[in-house]
Amino acid sequence: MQVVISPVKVNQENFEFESPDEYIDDTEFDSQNENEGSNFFFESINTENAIQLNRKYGVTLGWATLYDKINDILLSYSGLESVSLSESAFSEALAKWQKAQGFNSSDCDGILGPKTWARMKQLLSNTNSIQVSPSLPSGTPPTIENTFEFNRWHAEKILENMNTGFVRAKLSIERATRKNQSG
Amino acid sequence: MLNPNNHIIQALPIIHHIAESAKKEDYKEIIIGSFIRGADKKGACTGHCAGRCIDLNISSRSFESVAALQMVVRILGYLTNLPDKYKKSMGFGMPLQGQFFGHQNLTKYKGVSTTLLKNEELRKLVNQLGYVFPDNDNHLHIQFNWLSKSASNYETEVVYEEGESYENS
Ligand SMILES: [Zn+2]
Repeated sequence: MQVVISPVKVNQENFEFESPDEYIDDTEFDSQNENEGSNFFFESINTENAIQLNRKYGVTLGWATLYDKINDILLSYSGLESVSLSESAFSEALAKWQKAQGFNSSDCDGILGPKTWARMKQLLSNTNSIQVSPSLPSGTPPTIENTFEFNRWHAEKILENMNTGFVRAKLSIERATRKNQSG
Repeated sequence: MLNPNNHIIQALPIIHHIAESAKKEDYKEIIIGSFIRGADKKGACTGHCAGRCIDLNISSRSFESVAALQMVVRILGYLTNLPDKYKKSMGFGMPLQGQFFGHQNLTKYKGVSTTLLKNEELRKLVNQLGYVFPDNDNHLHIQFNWLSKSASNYETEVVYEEGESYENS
């Protein structure tokens, strides 16, 4: 079973569905949860795993909408300035932030999951008056007044349909090699 | 580019409806081509860029086939059951290929009479749902603007930008 976990890419400006070759195998989500790895040192976090889980958690926990604010917090841990962190730089900086926050070393995994998010959210709500709504899609779609939630709800429902094979996204390979096939 | 934080992506509920309808019928041939793209060559953000268009393909790829015609008929059938709030006039870009316009020499991206469509069922559906124009091969293009309060302009004006069609497939 393949699943796209990121209709909201880390870059908030891009709301395209990921192409299938960027799909992530869902099976590991059950076994490898946040703060449950076997990493002894935060310097050697499993970046690939962290990226995958962060894509998922960004949506399910709702923090993807606050990416810029989180980015601001993590920048000083990245050694970079005034940039939007790449997914790998994000998780590496997050691991350092987790350490600075006093998480156990095994919890410094670069994954912004429920536990880390609880802490991060506190910090964000202290400094900003922002709303965070980590709701999962339910039976009824949010109204269009809740713009992001409306988009997310529908995107997730479509992804469900993709996961069950009722609609598919076009292969990016095809996109690259067959440019003028359609429009 | 569209920011999902402050722009309703109008294509999403339409795709969702199509996907749910396909699921009910256990129909698995629909491929979502693209629905959000960058601005066109002139920098205008209309149609696909604004999230108001969808391109759909078929798993067997060619739109010459009867299967492709049947898929398009099926999808337009789904759209007749759209929730009322999304059910405003829609524009359909269909290929000049055999089952659709029968390779007639028509100008692309300009609205045409539905009588030019080869298939009667398709004609009826388009008449019911909106308007049609010839488009590039091997896909069904759907455009809409259900958020617009006055859909009248939209009904008569083809907003599809030719420049958009070459950026992606
Ligand atoms: Zn199109």
